[in-house]
Amino acid sequence: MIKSIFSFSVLGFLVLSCATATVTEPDACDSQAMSFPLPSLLALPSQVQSGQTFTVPPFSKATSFDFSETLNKISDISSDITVGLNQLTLDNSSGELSWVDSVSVSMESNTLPSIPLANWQASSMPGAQVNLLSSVQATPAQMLSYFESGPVTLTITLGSSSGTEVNASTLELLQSLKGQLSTNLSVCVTDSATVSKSL
Amino acid sequence: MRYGLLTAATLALVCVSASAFADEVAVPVSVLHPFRYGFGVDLGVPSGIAVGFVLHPKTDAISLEASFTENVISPGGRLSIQLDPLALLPKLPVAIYADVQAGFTGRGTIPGHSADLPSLGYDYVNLYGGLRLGKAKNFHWFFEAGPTYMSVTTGNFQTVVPSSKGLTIGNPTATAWVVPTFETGFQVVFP
Repeated sequence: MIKSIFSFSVLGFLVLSCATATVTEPDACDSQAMSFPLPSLLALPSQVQSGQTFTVPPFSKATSFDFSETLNKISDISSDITVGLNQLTLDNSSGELSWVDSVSVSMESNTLPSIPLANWQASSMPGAQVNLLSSVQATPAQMLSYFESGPVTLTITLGSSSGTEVNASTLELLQSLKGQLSTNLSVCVTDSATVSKSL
Repeated sequence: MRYGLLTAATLALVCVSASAFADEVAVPVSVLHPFRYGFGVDLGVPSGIAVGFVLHPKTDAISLEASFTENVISPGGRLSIQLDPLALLPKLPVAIYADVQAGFTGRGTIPGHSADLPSLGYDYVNLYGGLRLGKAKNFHWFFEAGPTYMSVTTGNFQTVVPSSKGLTIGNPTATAWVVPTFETGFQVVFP
């Protein structure tokens, strides 16, 4: 009798066992060094009047990130994935981006068209980092489809489309950079997936 | 279907045993006694092998156990509280009962695979129903099964997952319900 009960129990485990899990990858991060080619700037006049401003046109640079390997490992076991960004920053430890009042980021892949990822407007002078995370416009579904598809090209545009008004000291700073404004773009992707398996 | 058979068989056993000891049952008995203590050994998933100290505080209907556990990954610990109302029928040799367990396994790696597999640790809660074979007040063998809620953490992921193009990868975590898990073993209490 006891043997039968035990046998039924073991058989029950084998037939009915199942697991439902939520797997979370807290962050997959990458950081790319970027050198923005500076546009031709006005020469600084010998006599600068107080409050005089100069217009710096927007300038852009593209760089590539590839999170597809990590995401595809998870999509192999689950079709129910949620993707988000938990870091999108430009390094400003040197202060060379402190004049920037607008940053737009677009993304495109080999198979998908360019769409806006983030559009940041300065509310105050940025600190050691320009944090673009609060200005992300792409939806989680868009991010999943782009980041999963392969390498994604992010195009960063510094400055507003009509140009950015800067003072003389900022213009002098930009001219001292000898045509290249260098920074690092850091991106961290987080994802979670729900997995149900019968054992 | 199979659960139904198991439940029916268990209830039948309990009824037969209860009838056999009807005389004993009919007589009011004192359910309180001095502390009984002893030990238990069991084997199961997700606990692994467990060796524990057992305490029956004044009544056999409640059994407390603190166990040391070990599986191939890492040692751990487990606390459990068993509610066994049929233990109030002291000569009943078979009973069903409830057992709530909470435990942990420290983070570790499968021996020999520390370089190619991530480390793994987990906390868990088992919500078990059990079948006791033997009297609660001395030696008995048991089978338990039910759902388990697990919280799993991993470590060392960056070093074991090939990262392309300078990616840094955080350690994944997971929460899961696994249904059913099980364990079997014995307990002995004195006096």
